[in-house]
Amino acid sequence: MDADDRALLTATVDQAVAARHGADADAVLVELGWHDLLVAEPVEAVAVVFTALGRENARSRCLADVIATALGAAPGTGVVLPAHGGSRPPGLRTDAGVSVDGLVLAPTAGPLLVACDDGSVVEIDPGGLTIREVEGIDPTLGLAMVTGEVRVLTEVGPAPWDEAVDAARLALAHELAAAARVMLELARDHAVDRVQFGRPIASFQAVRHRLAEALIAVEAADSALEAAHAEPSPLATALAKVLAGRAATTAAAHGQQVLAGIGFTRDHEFHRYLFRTIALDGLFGSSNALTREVGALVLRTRAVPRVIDL
Amino acid sequence: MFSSMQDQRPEPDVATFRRELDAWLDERADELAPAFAGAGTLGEQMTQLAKVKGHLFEDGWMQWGWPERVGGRGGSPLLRAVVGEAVVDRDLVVSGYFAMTEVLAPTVVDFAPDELAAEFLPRLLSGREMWCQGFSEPGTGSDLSSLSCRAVQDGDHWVVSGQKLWTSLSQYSQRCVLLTRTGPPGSRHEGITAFFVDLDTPGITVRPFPIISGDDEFAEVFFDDVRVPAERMVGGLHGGWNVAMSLLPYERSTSFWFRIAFLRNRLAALAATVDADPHTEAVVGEAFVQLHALRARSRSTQHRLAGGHTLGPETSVDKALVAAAEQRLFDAARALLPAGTIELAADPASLRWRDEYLYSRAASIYGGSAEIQRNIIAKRLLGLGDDA
Repeated sequence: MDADDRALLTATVDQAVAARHGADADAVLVELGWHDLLVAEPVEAVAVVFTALGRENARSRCLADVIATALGAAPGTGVVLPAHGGSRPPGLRTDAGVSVDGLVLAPTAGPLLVACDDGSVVEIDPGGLTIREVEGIDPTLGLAMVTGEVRVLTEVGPAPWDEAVDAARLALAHELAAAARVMLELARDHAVDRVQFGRPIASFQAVRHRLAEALIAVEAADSALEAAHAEPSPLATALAKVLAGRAATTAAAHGQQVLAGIGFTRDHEFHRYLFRTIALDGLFGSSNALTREVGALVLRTRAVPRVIDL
Repeated sequence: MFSSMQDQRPEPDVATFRRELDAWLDERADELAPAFAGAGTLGEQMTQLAKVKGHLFEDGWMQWGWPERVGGRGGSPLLRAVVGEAVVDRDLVVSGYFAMTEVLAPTVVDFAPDELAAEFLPRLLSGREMWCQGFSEPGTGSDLSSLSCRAVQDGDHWVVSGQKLWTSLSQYSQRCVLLTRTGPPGSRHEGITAFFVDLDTPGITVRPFPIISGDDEFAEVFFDDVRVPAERMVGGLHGGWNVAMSLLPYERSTSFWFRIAFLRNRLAALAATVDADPHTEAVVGEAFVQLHALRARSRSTQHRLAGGHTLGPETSVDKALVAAAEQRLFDAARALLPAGTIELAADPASLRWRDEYLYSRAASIYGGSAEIQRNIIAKRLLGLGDDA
């Protein structure tokens, strides 16, 4: 995909997702060819679509599509995500079949793919599982917890689970980084408009430095994503997700302080991004958990990988 | 293959260049190794710096990335970044000293007449000379445009009077890139002129003094009616602000790449020293994450520079990330190293940790303080207008 194609794709996707005003974006994305694009150009497709989702605070099941595709299934296939906070395969093989503990996005009635601890991926009938919609901090995300033990419908084959984790982390990093930038922009616009003591609060150095701090974090996340695309590796992706999660936390902290009273309400759209990023950070390894993981890697190998070169 | 000065082959790609440079460094490891253990004295470090640059120059590595018209071999500045990264990776030189070239040479290359640059740049690259940067003054730190060291024309010379401060390593230097006030007092950015000054000119007094770690890295330099030939003016009359600002792209890119290599090196040394437990993993992980943020950012910045973009206020983000990464790392060292390492021990390895810990506090001060960077980010990148 050349630069012009990418620009056109970005503009088309942005416009389509924005028109949904945060509502379910699946139908419009599928109509635009999201499924074909995900198979043909997975990396570009994920970057463009998840950035748009993050910016618009849109709800979708795109993350499930990314995982299904990485596992070799067709986009649109239902798939079980790891339980919140974790990255382990959600299935545990048992004598009876498979014991499932995970999450699904926008559950449907069809069969579900489950990656298992023994490296296999299987198809199951969700009918035998307990499915409980997650209210949680961001009910609009459409997550449900699935637990229970069911028999295997189909043995699909060996599962490249690490690749699925990698693909999911990259997608989430794009969504988090984009949402972080929006939180910064919301606070920035407020600081410029809001007048106290006879002048915009953006003129006070304490406020300016908070917003600068947020921009530093957001820019770092974008650079880490650029690095993960330029020299892809599981480590580069994990670091991108950490830095995107950090950017969201930093932009949220400073943004909310600058927004002050209005940022503490549900009248201002800031809260939707705050809730979404808190919920997303916990998927496929939180910033904190992944930070410890990369720290453990450095300590185990007694070496600091360069990750990316010039 | 790239090591011959006579070699006229086109610019190598970065990965190949790095590979061949690594092979050369392996081959010459014994000759390049420092003659001292641990951090060494400042004098020993200067000798080591000159030695390493000398070997790199002799075999043609130092000249890559500098224009051919001034004695370089051409090619992208990315090659300079790779050379510095490789020698710092191997702990052959102190990154900050090796980086002096990046904060001095571009002014002369971009603004001095070609003959002057072609005469002096090879001396700097080869380690035969050190140069220093005469920018700051007792009354002029973050607010550089307030400087007052005066230069007055007298025939075909300019007469310089005043004082410079924080002029690092000037007691080891033969030349100084000097900013002077040539306009009326209060003329700010418009009344500054740069000169390339020989430090053995009569009337110059250099008084070194110790930085916080104890080394005489700083100096104050006094100018008492110092006569500088007019042809040593760099960047034209009242063009000094442009000259000073022209350093930023390299001070904030190539130079940071050397620093990143140093920080990687020291994080690896820390990881080799401490035992893993959940707390240690979190602290080491934080340091690694900060370092990666800086490395990823710096890579993007350098590719933009190499791609012909003009770098501007966005490099304040890079500067803020350097300060964060360096301080995070040495905070981690202080927290994780065995008790007493930084506080009490006197062996070379511990003294090095102490020096570096103390030095890391300067990362949010030199080259534009953390606060100045945030002021720039707020005004220029976030469009927040003027401050109160």
